[in-house]
Amino acid sequence: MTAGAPILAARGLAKRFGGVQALDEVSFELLGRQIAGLIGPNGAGKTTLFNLVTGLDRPDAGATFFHGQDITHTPAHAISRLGLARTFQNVRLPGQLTVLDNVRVAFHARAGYGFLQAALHLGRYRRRERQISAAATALLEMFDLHGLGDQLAASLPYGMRRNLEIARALATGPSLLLLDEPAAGLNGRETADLAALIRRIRDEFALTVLLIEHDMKIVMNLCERVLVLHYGKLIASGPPGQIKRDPQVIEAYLGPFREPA
Amino acid sequence: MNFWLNILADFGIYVILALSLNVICGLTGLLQLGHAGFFAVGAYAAGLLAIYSYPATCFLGAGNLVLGCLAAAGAAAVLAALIGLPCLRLRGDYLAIASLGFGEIVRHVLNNVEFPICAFADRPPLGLAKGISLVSTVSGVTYVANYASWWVILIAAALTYLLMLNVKRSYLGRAMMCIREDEIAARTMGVNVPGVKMTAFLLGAVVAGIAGALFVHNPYSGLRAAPGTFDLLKTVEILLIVVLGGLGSMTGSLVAAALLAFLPQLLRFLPTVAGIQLAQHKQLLYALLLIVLIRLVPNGLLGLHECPAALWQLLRRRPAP
Ligand SMILES: Nc1ncnc2c1ncn2[C@@H]1O[C@H](COP(=O)(O)OP(=O)(O)O)[C@@H](O)[C@H]1O
Ligand SMILES: [Mg+2]
Repeated sequence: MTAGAPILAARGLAKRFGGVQALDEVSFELLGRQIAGLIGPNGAGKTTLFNLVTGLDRPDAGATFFHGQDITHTPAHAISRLGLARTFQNVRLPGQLTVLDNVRVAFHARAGYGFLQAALHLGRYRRRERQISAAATALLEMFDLHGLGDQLAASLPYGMRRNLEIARALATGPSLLLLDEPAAGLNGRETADLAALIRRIRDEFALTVLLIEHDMKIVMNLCERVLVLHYGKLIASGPPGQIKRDPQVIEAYLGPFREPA
Repeated sequence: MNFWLNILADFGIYVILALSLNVICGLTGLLQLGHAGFFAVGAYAAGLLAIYSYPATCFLGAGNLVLGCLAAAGAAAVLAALIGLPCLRLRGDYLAIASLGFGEIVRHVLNNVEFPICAFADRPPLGLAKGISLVSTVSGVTYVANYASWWVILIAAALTYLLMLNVKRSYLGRAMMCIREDEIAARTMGVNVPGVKMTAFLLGAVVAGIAGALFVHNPYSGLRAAPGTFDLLKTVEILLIVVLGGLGSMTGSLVAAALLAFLPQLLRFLPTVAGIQLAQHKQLLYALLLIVLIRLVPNGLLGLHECPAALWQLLRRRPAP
């Protein structure tokens, strides 16, 4: 892969739900190691875009490429294995699984042993399980969840469940992480912590991050690039400074925050 | 003595059946209502193999039991694949309906099929409602020796328990439990959901088939298998053990199988209280006990866990350095 090649590319993505054109001819590219923001009012099609890119839903038209590979029709689990991870707007954690197991599930594709080795309790199974548990525990520590590994995921408070979901996404070994409104429901302090954490994740795991966010302060501070969706159309994309001044964006979305001329 | 050995063998079979259904219903959350069908297929596959291969494979000794188990596992796997492939990709409870139908079809087919015996003119016909028997009713010859005695079955049950625990604690078990809770989350974690469902379904069916082979080779059961043994009630009984023990708890299935195998027998020894012979009402007491149990522990005896929460707390508190 050349340095400038896009990690993720969307070409003319379209998706319609009944009478709603949720996405309309959306094309963009994401470069490596960027933190990019996806903004737009409620119902703009942001989550739908995530669903199409991760293979949970199929576009009516258009294509997506991950590291240059066409993944438009690739099943979701295979896309995950290629290194594209995500979180959900409504945190999706199997509540009856322990916190540790929630993270260990994400090592599924890289378990490194087979059914027979597990069934017969062979050395490779025990060794790999130890390694997986250690790696999962390290991730929990990074997200301030150490010591909670035995708790059921459902018993955690909301903020911790959010963090656990990000930890689990990282455990799949992604090169691109999609975060769907990670700061929703967090207070000011928690939001600042989250922003620092996202930066740290990007640096330590050498990731590209695309996050959906409503809080313009975070987007402008954290993101190196911003994409703006409006009624399913990508109306602008570029560095935050430029987005702030884009007349179309101001008209459609930033109106209330307009700076005095 | 023989009576209790019979109960022990019965208990072992129930353990294997419950553990195998627990992988499908408990761990993976698939409703499977034809488990007795796989049990039946295994019993008939092993039984017919023993009957038709006599006396050619006599020299194999206990190897005949192994052959029977392999035949049972193979037959169950083929049928499970035929049912699973079209159903497991669909959402919802198609599997419940298809497997329910499968269980009933198996029973009806077995009830109406007379197995070909033309090549074995000296042997009595087999099949129909009276089922198949490893002991010839004409000459009294036993086609194979009784290799699946009570202790063989108990060892098989113990091995099945360990196998299922290992699977539960592996990447597969975690994927199964994740699927049970949230399929979409599982998919984004790289879990091939239809594939893992198929693995669970096949594993459960194969182990139930092997239970059938052990059943038909078990001398205490009379070395026979008849369609009546494998009705819907059998599936319900197994499901009851799984639910009572806790969906997803292998240890729970073990405990609940013990309860259901021994409790009715123990109730026979109840004393006479206030002029009432309690032992005479054992069916009623048994039903009452089950209702009370389910009321007391709606999530099953152990829930999803292998160790009761209280005991777990105790074990965890102790090693405080
Ligand atoms: N599964 C679906 N079925 C029907 N309509 C949907 C579905 N998913 C999203 N939509 C519609 O598509 C539009 C975009 O939704 P969404 O992508 O969730 O917006 P956002 O995440 O930007 O708030 C909305 O009008 C929503 O009602
Ligand atoms: Mg959304």
